[in-house]
Amino acid sequence: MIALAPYLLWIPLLPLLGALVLGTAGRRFGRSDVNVVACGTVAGALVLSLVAFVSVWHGRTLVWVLPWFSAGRIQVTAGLTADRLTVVLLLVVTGISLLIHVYSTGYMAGDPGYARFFSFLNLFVGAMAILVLADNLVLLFIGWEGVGLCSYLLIGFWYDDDAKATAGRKAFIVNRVGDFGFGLAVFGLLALYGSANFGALLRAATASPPSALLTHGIFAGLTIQGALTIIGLFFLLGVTGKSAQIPLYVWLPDAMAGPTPVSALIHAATMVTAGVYLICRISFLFALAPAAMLAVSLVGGITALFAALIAFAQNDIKKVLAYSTISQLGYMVMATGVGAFWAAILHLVTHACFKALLFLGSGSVIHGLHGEQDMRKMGGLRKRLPQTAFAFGVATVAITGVLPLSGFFSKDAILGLTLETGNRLYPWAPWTLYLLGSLAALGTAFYMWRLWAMTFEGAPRTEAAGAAHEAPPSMAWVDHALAFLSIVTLGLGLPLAGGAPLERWLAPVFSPAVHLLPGLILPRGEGVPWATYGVALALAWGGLAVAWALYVGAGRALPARFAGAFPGLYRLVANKFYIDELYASLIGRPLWGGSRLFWRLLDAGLVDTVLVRGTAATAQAFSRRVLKPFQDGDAQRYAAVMALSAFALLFWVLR
Amino acid sequence: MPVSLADILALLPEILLSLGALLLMMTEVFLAGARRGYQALLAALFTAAAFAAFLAQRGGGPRVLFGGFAVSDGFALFAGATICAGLLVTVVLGAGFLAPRSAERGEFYALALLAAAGMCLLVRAEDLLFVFIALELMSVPTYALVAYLRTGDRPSEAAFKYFLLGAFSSALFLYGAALVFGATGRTSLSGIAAAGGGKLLLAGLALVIAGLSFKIAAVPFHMWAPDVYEGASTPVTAFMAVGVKAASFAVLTRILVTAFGAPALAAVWQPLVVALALLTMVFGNLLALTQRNVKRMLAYSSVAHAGYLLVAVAAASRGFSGPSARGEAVSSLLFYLAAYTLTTAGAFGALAALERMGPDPQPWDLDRFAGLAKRRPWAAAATAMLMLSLAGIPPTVGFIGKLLVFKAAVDAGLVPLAIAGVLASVVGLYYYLRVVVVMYMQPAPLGSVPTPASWPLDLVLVATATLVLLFGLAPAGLANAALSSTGLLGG
Repeated sequence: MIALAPYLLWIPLLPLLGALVLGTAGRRFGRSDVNVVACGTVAGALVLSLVAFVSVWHGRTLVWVLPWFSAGRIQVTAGLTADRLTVVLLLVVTGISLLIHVYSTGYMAGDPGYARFFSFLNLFVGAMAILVLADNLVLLFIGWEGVGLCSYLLIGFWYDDDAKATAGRKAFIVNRVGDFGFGLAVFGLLALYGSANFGALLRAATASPPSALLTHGIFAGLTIQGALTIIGLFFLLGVTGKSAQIPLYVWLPDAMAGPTPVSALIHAATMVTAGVYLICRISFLFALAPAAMLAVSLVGGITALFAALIAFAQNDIKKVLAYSTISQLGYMVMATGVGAFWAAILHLVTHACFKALLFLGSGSVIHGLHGEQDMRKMGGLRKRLPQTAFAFGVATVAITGVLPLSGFFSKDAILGLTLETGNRLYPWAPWTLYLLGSLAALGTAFYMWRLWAMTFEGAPRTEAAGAAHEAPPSMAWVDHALAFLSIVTLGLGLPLAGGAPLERWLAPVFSPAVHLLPGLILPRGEGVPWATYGVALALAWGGLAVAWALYVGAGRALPARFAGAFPGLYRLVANKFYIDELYASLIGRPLWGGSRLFWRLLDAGLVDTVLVRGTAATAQAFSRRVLKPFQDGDAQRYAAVMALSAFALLFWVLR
Repeated sequence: MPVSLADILALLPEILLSLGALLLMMTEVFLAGARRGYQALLAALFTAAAFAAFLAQRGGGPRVLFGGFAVSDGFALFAGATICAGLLVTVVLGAGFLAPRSAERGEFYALALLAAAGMCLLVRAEDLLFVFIALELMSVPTYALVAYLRTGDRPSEAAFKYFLLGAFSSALFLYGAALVFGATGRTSLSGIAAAGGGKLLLAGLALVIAGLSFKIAAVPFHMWAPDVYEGASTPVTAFMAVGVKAASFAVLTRILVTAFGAPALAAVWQPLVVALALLTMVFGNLLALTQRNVKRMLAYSSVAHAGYLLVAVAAASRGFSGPSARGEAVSSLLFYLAAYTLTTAGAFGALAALERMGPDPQPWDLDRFAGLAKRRPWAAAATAMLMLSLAGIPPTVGFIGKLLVFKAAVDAGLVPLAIAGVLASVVGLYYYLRVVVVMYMQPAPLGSVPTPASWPLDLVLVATATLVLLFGLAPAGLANAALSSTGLLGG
């Protein structure tokens, strides 16, 4: 049942208004006023999201539509819609945002840009709400770009630090490449179906068979399936930018230059999952293009393993978490590629909770150590920061899956479904993906417990670590709330008879995709898949055991000896496989050189000197020397010119 | 000539304006020496009432009044409403400008209201005789207004020049009308269209165009404009720039489209108007380029804008475009007039706000704007918005106006003219943005005397800038109103 819900508009509008107020008048506000505006508007959005959730629970699909613009046969509305998928995302976005707003009131206390920070953070919540509420790809793109802008603004929040400003620019530029793909994909869809509206796209996609040959337009000569494969690959490019997948993941580790709450909210819990949401939102289009889906799953699987490998050798606590985020996003992308859309969303939700908690916990650690981020200078913090250690421990257990907390079920759902995918285009794909995912799970357990061991176990390695102090209550309180969520969200993924709760909740959203490509998503067998669970638990404990042995137990000397024995391999991993350097020399420097050349030759030379100054000088001189003397204030001369002109007109018409 | 009550009711706006003028003159006589704050209020009330009367009359079909001398159609109502809006701004400007100079008198408002009544009659004139009478009713009070603030020799010189050349242009127009009458035996526009004629009619057409080209300040009939605009007191300049121009453009369009709309005649006047448009756009912008005197710059800017408006007139010729394209062209003209009225009136308001009292050798120099952003940020922001609109930059109403006019030109097949117009407006960018640059990037010169703030002037600035932005962001309402107002009687 479709119901009109004008209040949907207020979900993005409230935080946007908050951003406007804080951005224009925030400097004059006291800190508590900023808190009220920033947290109040987000809380309002959360309440409205809950209202929407209840309404959707009762079987309604909410819409709110305004005409926006039309160009030829293309009609675009500024419409918002909320279905079962949207409300899940809305609750995650507004809920986590509210927690992180509260956390930030403690973390950012004393920063001179306090109001500016919350203005950006509110702007982000508004843009993200637009992204998930949009009923068409064009409006979604507005949100997509909006969150990208906020990401840029917040990474470079401390803009007087050159490295941080550069990191912001890097994120923005790398994302441009992805957005280029997104744009092309939307144009392709507009050319193919004449609409960017999800409902219209669904109707069009189900109306004609994928094997139908296109006769006109830019896709003439291709089948619909072929056209959708191209479009899907362009969407994939967009996803690799926003969700930090190979080859465009390089911006996310640098994005850790931003304040830690920003890392938690934008670069772990919400914005970076936008790509996963996008694929799920247009799952019915991907279902028509199995080759594109395979590409999606491979990109995700390889990213999951690759990023986990890099995380092995990082010593910056936030860098480890950043690569962990890339790896976990890889899981989600892989899940969408094999058609396990609900599992991707499940992992999105659980990951949002425990990864936000990991970042906030690391924030509390960094806060307690006065800005220290190097794990080699920590150690023994379990005793100094018991509250933080407890919450951090819960999240670590959740992400590594040594105990069946939320992360265990969501990750295992993905791993299990890679084997059961109906995408039988390439027979080797399921096993390959399972292998990639399982190795990444082993890696996850290793690097996360390594992080735990280096930070919280053993004895303090520096004076600062020995004198660390616990975070203020507003921060600790949020840590505990997220720890609670990291545990209870396991309920969403319990393998009950008839499917996990979230699977059944999202089934109506993904049923078109299932029907369009029969056999794509095989029904899960009845009963608990003990085999994959056993493997997953074994891998998790294995990773834990290795990490413990190497960083707490008897083998503490081994990592250094290993690095000494294979210096080349260690440097390769520690330097992140030199991908940044590769991009710099392949793309960055040639572009830089070319730009300089064009600047000197074309811009400074031709445009500035000849075209701009030249024409301006000519026009000025003409005006001053030729035209002005006529205008000397002599009324007789004016009258004479008028008379002559009238004669000229007469002559013209009578000739 | 049968005159019915309905005919008189149709003239309610003009009647209101004239009544207001009479009331102001009478009270001025009896209340000499008393406080004059009520006068602006009274004038504004009558103007607003006339504006409302124009709006209230919309919706009905075109009607002939006074046995064919005048009409009441959508075109006239839209133009009339635009004129009243310009008058309203002028009245508020007058209050803000004259009161601190102790020069506020009933005559000022009365003359402005009378001239506006003439303008409103002009836009609905359907007979060349009626056109001439309305033209004079508009012009004579304007001559007097130019000389209103008789301090120094500037205003009297300007008024004399304007009167002399205006009389000359009236003679040209009257001569043209006489030739038209000689050729066709008619004076009513529809009658002329029905009769047709030969060379004599063409000669009449040329002289009518020449006479009205003076009023709209089209090159080469523009030379009076900078001198007179500079000499007149600033509220009067604003009134001339918006009111006289809007009314003259309306009547020019009506005469050309109604009386000379036949394809054979349109083939003669369209190239003529195209040539005038080209000259006006190019020379108006080039002449404005070197002005450091902002008032003269705005005068030339108003000349340049006449060029853009002439593009719309050229596009409206029936000989070359179908009825729908012509409607589009006429609506673009109306939209541009409204946009131009708002923006230009506001821009002269900005100028008035910066003028000092007493003797001042260079009252309108660009330096007067330096550092304005620091001293009065809101006024600077509003002025910047108005300059952007004059230059035709989104998101202002000036951009939408240019867009519609050039689109109409392209649809009418006048692609080269549209290109020339766009290029000319690029030149305009230079001198409009220079004002913004000076306001925001140059510090105020040492020892500069801050000008006193006056709330009516600030009101004009903020109100026009807000509307300019509003109609630029959401132009649909105004554009649709213009589009539904293109019903010209007999057109």
